[in-house]
Amino acid sequence: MKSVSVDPTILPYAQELRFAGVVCDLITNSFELRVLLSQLSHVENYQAGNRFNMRIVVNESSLDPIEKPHFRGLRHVVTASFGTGNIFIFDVLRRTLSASISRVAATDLRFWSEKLIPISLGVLGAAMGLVPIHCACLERNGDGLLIAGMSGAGKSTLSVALAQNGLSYVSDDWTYMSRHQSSLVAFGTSAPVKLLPDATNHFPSLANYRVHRSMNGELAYEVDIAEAFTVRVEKACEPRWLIFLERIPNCEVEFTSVASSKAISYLNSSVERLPTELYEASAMRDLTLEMVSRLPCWFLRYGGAPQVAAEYLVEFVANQAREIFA
Amino acid sequence: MKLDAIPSPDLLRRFVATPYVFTDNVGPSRHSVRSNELGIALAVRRSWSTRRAENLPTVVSWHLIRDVFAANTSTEMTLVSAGKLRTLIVGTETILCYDAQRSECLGFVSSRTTIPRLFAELIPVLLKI
Repeated sequence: MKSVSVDPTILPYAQELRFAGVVCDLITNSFELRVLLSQLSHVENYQAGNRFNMRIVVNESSLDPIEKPHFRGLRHVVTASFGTGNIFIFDVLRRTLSASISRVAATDLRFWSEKLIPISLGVLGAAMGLVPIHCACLERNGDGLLIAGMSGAGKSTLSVALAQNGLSYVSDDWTYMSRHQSSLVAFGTSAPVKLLPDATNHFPSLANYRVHRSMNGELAYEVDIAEAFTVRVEKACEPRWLIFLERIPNCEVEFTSVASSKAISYLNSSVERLPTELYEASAMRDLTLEMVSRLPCWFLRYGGAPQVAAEYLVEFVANQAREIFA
Repeated sequence: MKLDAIPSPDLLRRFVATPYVFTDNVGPSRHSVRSNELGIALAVRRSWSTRRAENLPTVVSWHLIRDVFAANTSTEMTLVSAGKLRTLIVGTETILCYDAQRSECLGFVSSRTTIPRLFAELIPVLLKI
């Protein structure tokens, strides 16, 4: 049996990191991991108030590969195993991630940027007032446009098309919401944009990249959007509008307003349920979701190329922004 | 897309129904067990009377799920001790956590792990200080 003691008093390397408006106090025995995670730490304009602990023991002699993830959770504890050599234990009540990992995982930048950091924020965020919402986020002049929709609705392709039309990209799949004083802030995590293989129909330059098997088993392009499409990326913005996206074959671009009661119903049902032990986290999350639902909301239905819908949306955002500041 | 027709996801299987619940007063504490498998719940209840003799710490709350959806992988055992939380993982599918501060034992038990093994081998390893 392998026995690992994650004792912060004997782990020599410490580093303060910032992700999505929260501070992560990293303690590890690996200098290499500290340097790697420092590269992913964000420089943020928003004052970070909440913190969590990340305590990682790296087995320097272990070359265990990063395998298919296995997640489970009960009450305040959540575990994520990426094979037997890479085990992550999240204690939501104590806002702590403890892990025993192989050297392979400790040196894989993509693993941390695409998987572990977003997962950590998703799991521990609940205790810090950070709410992961399944939506894309685009930004213009500090104002954010949230695009929600079922998987496969085309959030990512539309996000890329919008970024090519002058909006800045924040996220394409998961956006982290937080309340700062009386306003709402949306954060991205710099995770790569995920596009299904048929996205080459709209973005031929994707053919220069290779498809990967993503965490949910889908084959997809997972590319750094700034590098692949030469577009602007922002870390955070203040969300102003919420769009529910639906692709309907042969449909023209169509906007319909949505009542906030409908929006809150969708938002509540799309987030992971929390156990009763986390009632404070649950209450904080409810407040944040309510603020999101109070944003002006619309249904956007379209059936053509994402570039066409993007043109309509850019014009729509410009008109809405004029109304706000008129 | 219907905005009110989506069930809340339970990706972590936190909310598996646990119809087998026993509670009992053991000395000064009120013990409880909940499980989705009667055999596990009964075995925990039986252990309440023997645990003191084994000199293991008291667990007042048990929540053990028989995890039929977990794929059986390896038999490698890893024990991770992190502050008040100890976690024993067998392969990747049997996961047992003991929170010493809250006196709770939580976990998922794969279909390959038998009840005798769970109580004779795994739980003593998890609780041994």
